Amino acid sequence: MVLSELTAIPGVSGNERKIREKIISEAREYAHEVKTDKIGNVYAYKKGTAGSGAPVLLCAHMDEVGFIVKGVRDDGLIAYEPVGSMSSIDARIVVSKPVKVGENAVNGIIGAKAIHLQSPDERTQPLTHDKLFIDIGAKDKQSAEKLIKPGDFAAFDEACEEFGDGLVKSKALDDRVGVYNLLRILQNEYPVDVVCAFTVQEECGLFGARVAARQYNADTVIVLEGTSANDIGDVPEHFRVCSLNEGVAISFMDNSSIANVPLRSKLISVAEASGIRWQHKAYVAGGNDAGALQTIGGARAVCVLSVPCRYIHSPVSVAAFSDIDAQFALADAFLKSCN
Amino acid sequence: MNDILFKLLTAYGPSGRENQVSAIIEELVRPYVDEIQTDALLNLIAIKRGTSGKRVMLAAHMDQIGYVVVSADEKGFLRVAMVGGVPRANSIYRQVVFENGVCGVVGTELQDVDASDTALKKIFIDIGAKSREEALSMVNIGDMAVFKPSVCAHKNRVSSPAMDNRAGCALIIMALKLLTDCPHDVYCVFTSQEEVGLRGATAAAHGINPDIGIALDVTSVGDTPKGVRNSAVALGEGIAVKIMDSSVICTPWIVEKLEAAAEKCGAKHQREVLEAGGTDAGAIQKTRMGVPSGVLSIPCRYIHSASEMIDLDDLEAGAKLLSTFLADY
Amino acid sequence: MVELFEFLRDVTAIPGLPGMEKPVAEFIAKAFEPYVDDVAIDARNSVIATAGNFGPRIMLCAHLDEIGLIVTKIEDDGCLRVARNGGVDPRILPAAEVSVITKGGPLFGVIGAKPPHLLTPADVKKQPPLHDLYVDIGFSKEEAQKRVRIGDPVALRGKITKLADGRVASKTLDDRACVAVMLMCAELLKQMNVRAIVQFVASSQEEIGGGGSRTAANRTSPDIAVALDVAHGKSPGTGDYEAFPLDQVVLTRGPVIHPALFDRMKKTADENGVSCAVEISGGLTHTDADQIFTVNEGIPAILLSVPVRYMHTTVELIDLKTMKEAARLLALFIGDISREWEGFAWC
Repeated sequence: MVLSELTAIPGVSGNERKIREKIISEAREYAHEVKTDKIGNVYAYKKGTAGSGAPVLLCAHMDEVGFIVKGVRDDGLIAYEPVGSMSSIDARIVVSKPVKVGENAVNGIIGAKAIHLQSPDERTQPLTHDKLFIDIGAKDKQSAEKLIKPGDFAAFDEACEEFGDGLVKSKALDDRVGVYNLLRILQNEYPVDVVCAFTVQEECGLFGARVAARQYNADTVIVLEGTSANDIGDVPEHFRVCSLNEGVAISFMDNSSIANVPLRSKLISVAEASGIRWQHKAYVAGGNDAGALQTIGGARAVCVLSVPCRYIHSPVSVAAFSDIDAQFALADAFLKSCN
Repeated sequence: MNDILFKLLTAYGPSGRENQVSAIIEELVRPYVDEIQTDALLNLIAIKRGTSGKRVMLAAHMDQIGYVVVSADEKGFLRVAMVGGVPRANSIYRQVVFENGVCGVVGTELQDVDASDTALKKIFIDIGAKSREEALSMVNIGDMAVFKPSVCAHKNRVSSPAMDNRAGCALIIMALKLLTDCPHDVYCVFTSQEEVGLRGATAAAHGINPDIGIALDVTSVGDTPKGVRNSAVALGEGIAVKIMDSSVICTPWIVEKLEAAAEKCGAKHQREVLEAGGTDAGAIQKTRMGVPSGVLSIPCRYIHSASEMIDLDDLEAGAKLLSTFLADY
Repeated sequence: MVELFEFLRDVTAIPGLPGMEKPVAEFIAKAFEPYVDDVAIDARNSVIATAGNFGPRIMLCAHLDEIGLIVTKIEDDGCLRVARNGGVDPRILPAAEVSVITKGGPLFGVIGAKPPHLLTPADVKKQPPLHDLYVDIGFSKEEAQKRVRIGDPVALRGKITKLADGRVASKTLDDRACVAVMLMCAELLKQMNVRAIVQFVASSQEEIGGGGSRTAANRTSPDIAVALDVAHGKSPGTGDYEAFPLDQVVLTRGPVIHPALFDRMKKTADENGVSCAVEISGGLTHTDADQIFTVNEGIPAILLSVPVRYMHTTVELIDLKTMKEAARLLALFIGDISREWEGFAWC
């Protein structure tokens, strides 16, 4: 199983069925037990070699940002909104992008008025989602409704491509990189029990994690995420957050959680001792499943390990394979050091 | 000067780094309780055992607002983010201190002194380092700074950083001292990470699953020269029994019982409605099947500044009220 | 026998601001008694009325709290300053009638407004902010202080009005209209023989995000949940996909909603001639569904709405026939799903 297989499968928040099925089939080969709950989270349990005890919980979310169809206009164009909230996806980057709509992956594009027809004012005004539409080419409402319906989900249609010096471009690196690494973790043996939780609807507000928090008696939680890297293009140093090819980003704090100090220190020493490249996530922004996992149903020690991704929440997010491997290596080394 | 309060005000403890203040609280509260526990979020839970089988949870957050180091620039200035709500206007030119004792000054570019601009990215902390290497040899990325302790007495009033919410922590300890007879298990939870979203209380309340919960915190007032249209709360008018804030509508029968306890012991009290601001009770009330909850608030001027001011009589009235309430519940 | 108009008239008149819902909770609990086996009011004033002993546990949830105001200060001239408890549209406040709920009983009050003769052109251009408004209860400061306390709830007043075509205007149809729908459903179910444990929950604190529905669900542990709330009815200025015709029941689709339950309810509607509109919600629905669906292991949830024009005003407007259709759909759905429960196709 390679990363590109995972990023290609659609799994917009609230419509994770296909990616869930892939995760279950992969996990079944290596886990002792694979379960799902009623909101759609998947849990893969791996017993430890040193006897059973409270598991370490590793978590990645399987959902990706995307769109939902609100309605079909008489002219066949499709009104949509981003899943989660209006600000989940910057409206300025969706113009001119291809998407796949509905269970049958109908081709669509998000177009906008040609530049020739724009007034000087319009050329400088950014478009908002309510002024943009998905065009599937249907000639009218009736024709469109044969192919799609309100409530269908749409994902970016962007093929995964390797480029540059060890970089990969794809939609949904946030958080298929985490899913990918969790599936690799499952292939190994560790002294402690490990639960790999693949959550749903993180992008809507940590909904899956709210449920996942109460399913196991884990004291220690590590979240594998993709995070913004703002490292090129004339950015002042203190706004970069983290950089590609500088290793896995370890958070001390974001908007949803403050890393547990001893856990974070241990992760850093394991990284140093094993020669794994790491960096700080040097910015406080964004939230993730750790926010729910640290407090719901009891107190837990949490820390977030992230793969730096440029252009996150866009169809062309970019990450470095060395960082993706570093995230895996650190989780792997940490688990090996537990007893 | 209230000895307990003074020790608490000078302790270091921003959200997520409450170890130092927790140790001091533990020492102060130990004589009055039977058991002490902590959890993975650093909540400090001091339990006074009773016989009735009922559980009362008291909550006062021990964390204070501060700044977290995000990076160091090549000239040695530290870039920071907020820990909890630190208004920029309250930050400029303040002296701050880190856990390891390193001191700094919050600086800003001369042209950015417009305090109405709340962007924290326009401030930096100057620890006297002359280069990035020197700065990072003094503090680490992820370290947190708080306002430098500075307790000032004004007759019967006291101003200091971290009054929010060391005053609430002091109130619990003072009430325990006064408490003679309480049949119930009293869980005194000195919570963590309230300032960043009631996180400690959310986790602790779930574990304890109390029958009722009372939070102790500070609240803002409307008694400065011009006053505030929608606040009648004033320093020196007694401990405030909260009706509502943006996180909780206090359970009406708990409000009644708190007011009855005040009448009984003669504690001066007032009522409080807060339009913006939340407390741990917001987390406790929503726990499991719902927990009847209330709040006693210590009126406080200049909240989230380096000079938060309370009236010691209000604090004492609160301790008296709380101990009477606990004995009678 | 549920007399819909009379029930609405009575239930919308009883004060029940978020966190202070006891009076209306008691009224609603009593109203359910004839149709259920057990009624309780929980620690946060949510009413939980249960009918049935076997079968799937089905939670229906409509919130009983209403938006209102709360006294923050008594001024020197005896007028009261207020803050909001719930999302009151401040534009409806000038010249509004209110009821200050005091320990000694309700006091009539008026929210002051400058007479037109004294308004300047600049005044008319902007909305007075809430902090400039005040409640006039006709007392001096001393007299006011004897009767009113800080924190006393202030409920909006508005009479219920019968309009043409079976429509009705009233305050607090959000969401007591749906409490009425649940009541009518309870009456219908009593005639049917369904094998289900139906939990009729009138939840508290929905208007302030306080999650009375969540704490209730923690107690009742349902297998599935149907949240009932009001949707926006089409009126001037409402957008294409955010408001619906008054004569249609609205079913919501989106991440919070379980697709298999949506499909099942839509099928019930289509098979029984219930006219439905579909609303799409890409994230939070801003109803109790958000609170309930992540409880325990996740509770599959749907949202059923009745359109209401002018929401959060004292003249919310609804079609009584649509309410009855909603109750009918709900009862039929409960019958259908409880019959199919054993082999229900969740995927």
